[in-house]
Amino acid sequence: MRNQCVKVVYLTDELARKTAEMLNSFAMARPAEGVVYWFGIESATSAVVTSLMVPDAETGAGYLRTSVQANAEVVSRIAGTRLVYIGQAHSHPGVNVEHSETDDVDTFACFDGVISVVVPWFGRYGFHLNDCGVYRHVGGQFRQIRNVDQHIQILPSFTDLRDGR
Amino acid sequence: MSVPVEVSLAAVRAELVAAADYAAAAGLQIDADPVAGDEPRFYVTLVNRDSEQFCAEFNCAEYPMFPPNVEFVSPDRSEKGTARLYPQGFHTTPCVCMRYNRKAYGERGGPHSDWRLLDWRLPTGNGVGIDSLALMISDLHSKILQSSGRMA
Repeated sequence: MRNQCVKVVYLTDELARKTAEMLNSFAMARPAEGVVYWFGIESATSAVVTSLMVPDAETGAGYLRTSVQANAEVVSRIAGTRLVYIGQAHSHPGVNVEHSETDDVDTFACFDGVISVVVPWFGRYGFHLNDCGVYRHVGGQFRQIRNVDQHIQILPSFTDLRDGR
Repeated sequence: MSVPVEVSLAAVRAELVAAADYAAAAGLQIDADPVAGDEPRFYVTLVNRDSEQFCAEFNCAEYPMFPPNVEFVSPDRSEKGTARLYPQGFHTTPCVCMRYNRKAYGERGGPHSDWRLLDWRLPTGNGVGIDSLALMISDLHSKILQSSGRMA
């Protein structure tokens, strides 16, 4: 699936790692799913994630909710910046990375182009796109995508090319 | 170099508060009676998706310099480390092949010669370090909850 108006989302490996770390932080005291919102800068063909935001979500084993107030707080934090909402990542307890019905309906800011990534094992083993479920809101609903690299790509955040390092 | 048992006991007692909170939140049974009796060892009963029970022993001698030795034992603790005591999904040695298990290391006879015991708190890949007793319980819990049946 590739929609002409759907922009490729770019995320650095460092922000991917931090996303997984934040997701895992929800599961430190109890087996709870977590969520991280991605904000960034858009162009006509791409969207670059620059900023992560962790909402004050209500979470537990098998569920995740963000209240209107929690999301309003998120929006208030980006007001006045150039940042736009690009999508979110949320975690599941095990290997299953399917979007639930709740994920389809209750995910914050459902509009076309938004990306939603489900990370297995509470994010504890990192952010590996091959292990994640990747969904795009297209035509009024979230759809699982198979050609992942046409929708999201991880970029290196740092490279040191000096000899011997 | 060995860690005095008092040091391990103090570390385990300090971490058991969070570990017990996690176990309670996850509905797991934790038996820390040996710690009260001055042994750095406790047990957690976990269930797989078929509601079969598995009892994991965390032997924390020399903790926190080295990770615990995590082993499955029979409910009466008379049998230890046999395949039939393990849930499906673990290394068939049998072994919980994670950095937080001393048994997994090559230098202790385990399958991972590529890990060093002193680095046990490091993350694997680009994940997070599973470096507390609460996180170890959480990790075992989520893995076993996904599995079905016994190794043998």
